[in-house]
Amino acid sequence: MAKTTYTQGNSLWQDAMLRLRRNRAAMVSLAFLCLMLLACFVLPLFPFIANPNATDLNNIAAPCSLAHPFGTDQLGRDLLARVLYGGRISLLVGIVATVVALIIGLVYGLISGYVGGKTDAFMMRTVDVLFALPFIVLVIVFSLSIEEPSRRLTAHIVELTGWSRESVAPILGLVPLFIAIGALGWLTLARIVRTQTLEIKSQEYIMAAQSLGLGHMRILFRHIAPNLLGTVVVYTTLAVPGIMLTESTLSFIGLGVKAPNSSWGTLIKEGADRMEVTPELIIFPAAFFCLTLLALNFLGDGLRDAIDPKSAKD
Amino acid sequence: MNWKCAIAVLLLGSLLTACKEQKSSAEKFAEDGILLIGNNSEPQSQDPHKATAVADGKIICTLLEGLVRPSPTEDGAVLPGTAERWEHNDTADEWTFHLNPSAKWSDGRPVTANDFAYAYQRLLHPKFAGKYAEMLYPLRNAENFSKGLCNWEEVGVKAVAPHTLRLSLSGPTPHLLRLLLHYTWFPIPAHKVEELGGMLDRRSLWTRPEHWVGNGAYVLAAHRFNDYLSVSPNPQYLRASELKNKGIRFLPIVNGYTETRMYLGGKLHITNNVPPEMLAYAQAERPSDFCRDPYYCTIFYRLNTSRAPLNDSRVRRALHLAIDREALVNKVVRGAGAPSVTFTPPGAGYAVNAPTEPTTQAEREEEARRLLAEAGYAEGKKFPVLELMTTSRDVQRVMAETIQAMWEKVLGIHVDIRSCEWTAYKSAQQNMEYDISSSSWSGDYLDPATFVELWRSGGGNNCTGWGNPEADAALSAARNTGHAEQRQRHLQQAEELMLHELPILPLYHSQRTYLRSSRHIDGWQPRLLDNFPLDAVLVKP
Repeated sequence: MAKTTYTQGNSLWQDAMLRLRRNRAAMVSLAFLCLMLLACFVLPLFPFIANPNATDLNNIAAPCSLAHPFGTDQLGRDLLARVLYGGRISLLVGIVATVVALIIGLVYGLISGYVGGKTDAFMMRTVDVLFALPFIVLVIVFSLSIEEPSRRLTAHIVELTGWSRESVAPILGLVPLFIAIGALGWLTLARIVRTQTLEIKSQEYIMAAQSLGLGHMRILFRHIAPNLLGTVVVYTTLAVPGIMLTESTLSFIGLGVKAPNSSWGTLIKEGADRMEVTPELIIFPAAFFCLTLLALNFLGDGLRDAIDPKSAKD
Repeated sequence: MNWKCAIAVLLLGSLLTACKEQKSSAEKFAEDGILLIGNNSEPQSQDPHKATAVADGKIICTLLEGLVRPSPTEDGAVLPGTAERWEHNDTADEWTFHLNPSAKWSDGRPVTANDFAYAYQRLLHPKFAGKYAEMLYPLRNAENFSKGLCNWEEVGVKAVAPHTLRLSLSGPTPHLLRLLLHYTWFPIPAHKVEELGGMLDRRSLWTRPEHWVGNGAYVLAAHRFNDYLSVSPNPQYLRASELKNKGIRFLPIVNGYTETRMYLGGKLHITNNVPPEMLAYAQAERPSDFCRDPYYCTIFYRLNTSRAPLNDSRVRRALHLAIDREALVNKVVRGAGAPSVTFTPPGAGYAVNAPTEPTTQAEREEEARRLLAEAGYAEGKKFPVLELMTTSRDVQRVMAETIQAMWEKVLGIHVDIRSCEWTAYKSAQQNMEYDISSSSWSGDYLDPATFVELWRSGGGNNCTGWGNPEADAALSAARNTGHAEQRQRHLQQAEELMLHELPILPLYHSQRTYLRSSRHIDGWQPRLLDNFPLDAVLVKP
């Protein structure tokens, strides 16, 4: 009896993964990012990482040593602990604000592109208007106006749950920042999603789905959205660095994290002031920050090449 | 020669010119005789009746001239200014000043005694609500007038002739001339102010460069927000020929690190302040330019006593005792002053007894915890989160973080740090929209009263909501006595009452550390009040 063998075809995603795995720079970046996430979120749980806010006025601006691998800052606080805790905040802002922007941008772009006509024109002109406004100024106004409600929220949560204020405040204090950056960072994504939606909408399989009598929701989220995913994933990895930079900008001018907590942005600012005297204070946080941004960019590039081979330059 | 060759020559030429050494702006401005001076913060106003910040005062002193002026050669000495001579009666409570008849405003009109009387009436007027009105309270009935209790005619200021001004004081004031050096005693151009909205118009535009009229060594030339304020010589000035430079540019640089770096990069002639961590570096880098001068100034925290729980003096004392001042001064601000638990800095022959407190830091902290528990916040439980407001100055922020950590460690309470831009900080403080405010006070004249008078109830720069009738009485008694020793005792009594209830937390008496170009600047001398007359600063290329 003749035996028939079926070769299972590779799906689009498997192909993409294969291509990504062959891109060495992207894989190294991915590994580095995983390490960085682990270092910032897991490492501080161990007792050998000092309390980042414990000052020691007898040990100010100490050089690197066994007790303080990165030395101490201007108030004798362990710099390694501060860099790791700062990374927590910077990465958290980067990720959460991106997710917020992603959700808004995706839904907005999908609706605009799918409905089309006057609705589309109106929604896109709104985006144009928002684009014309200076982003940083808007973020500042927005984050200042939701600061008070979020402070009250913190107080409520502390009261309800009985958690210590110190554990909640650093994260909850960032909520205005998350919302402000996220709520204003979706504009580019909305445009990209809309264009893609317009293109997909005109393809035959969508027409087929429509003639089969499928509902709009089903078409939108079952047939259009999944085909956008590649573009969205690429855009997201490239957006995170931008958002982390915005956070540093805001922290730099004193609107981001509140002292004594720090983010990479504030650490770099404090280090920059003391550059001539204690260069370690800027070297370490800046190195962490730059490497993370670089890794995110490499990964984003790699993903783009993998998902859309046509766009690859080589 | 073909065209390629020509391009190559052109490129080479432009490269060479680009490589030629650029002159720094300090050198360029020095060639023009213009002084570049770091001036801390963005000036709020050039109106002597609205300004309260040190940065404003420095500018106003170049634009207007009072009856007398500070001597450029001797600290604390006084020379004739707009007045050419004066005399007083035996009890020193009635002074007559004879103005120099050739003194003119910059628009050519003569400076008259009426311009002084007009200025004093404006600052004291209850409807104008000048923050610095107390500066004129030594004048007879001035306080009553500013509170709406009497008419202007009863106040001890009389323009008896166009060039004769008579000041009647509420008590013997032998040190009056030192007070007169402060800009609140300066005249304003009555004709110009009247023309632009009148005496009581707080929004008057008379201080704008296009309207400015003054009698000082300089006139206001230009003001670019957050960039610079420049003044140029006033040709109508009495001693215009004695001017040692051709103008001043004040740069509002809040960040001391930036300022020091700008200085080292050749962008300034004199800086305002070298931050603690850069002291050693700046000294090593420019040994001949580095200055460390004594300064009549105190760094302290204001507490808003109108808000709970800071209305409880036990809480205030607990906060006070929990601060380790030795560590703060020696480790964090690095010898930028002397730690202190009293307010008025030593000087002018005055010293106040420190309140009886535990001596060692451990005992102090123990006492602090006990007081906080007594107030109902044992171990900091249920203590609300207070807000500690600072300016965006780095030194203040580092200090705030240090004290935040001390309170957290000793008392178990948490404070939030809010760092504000200068104008926002100033207005929040004036309107008492803060819990704790990082503050400093530098003397307006060389006398303890400039510090102690601050805490009079309802005083314009009190801003703590605190007041004590007994202390107010002691202050008034000090003002009305002619006896120097008794006066001291009254002031001491007032300060001790204040220190007993602590509406403020004194931290340290500061020094001034700054850089001054020894190459471009001549004739500069340190001043306890940091009021060296800038027209006597020689700028050389």
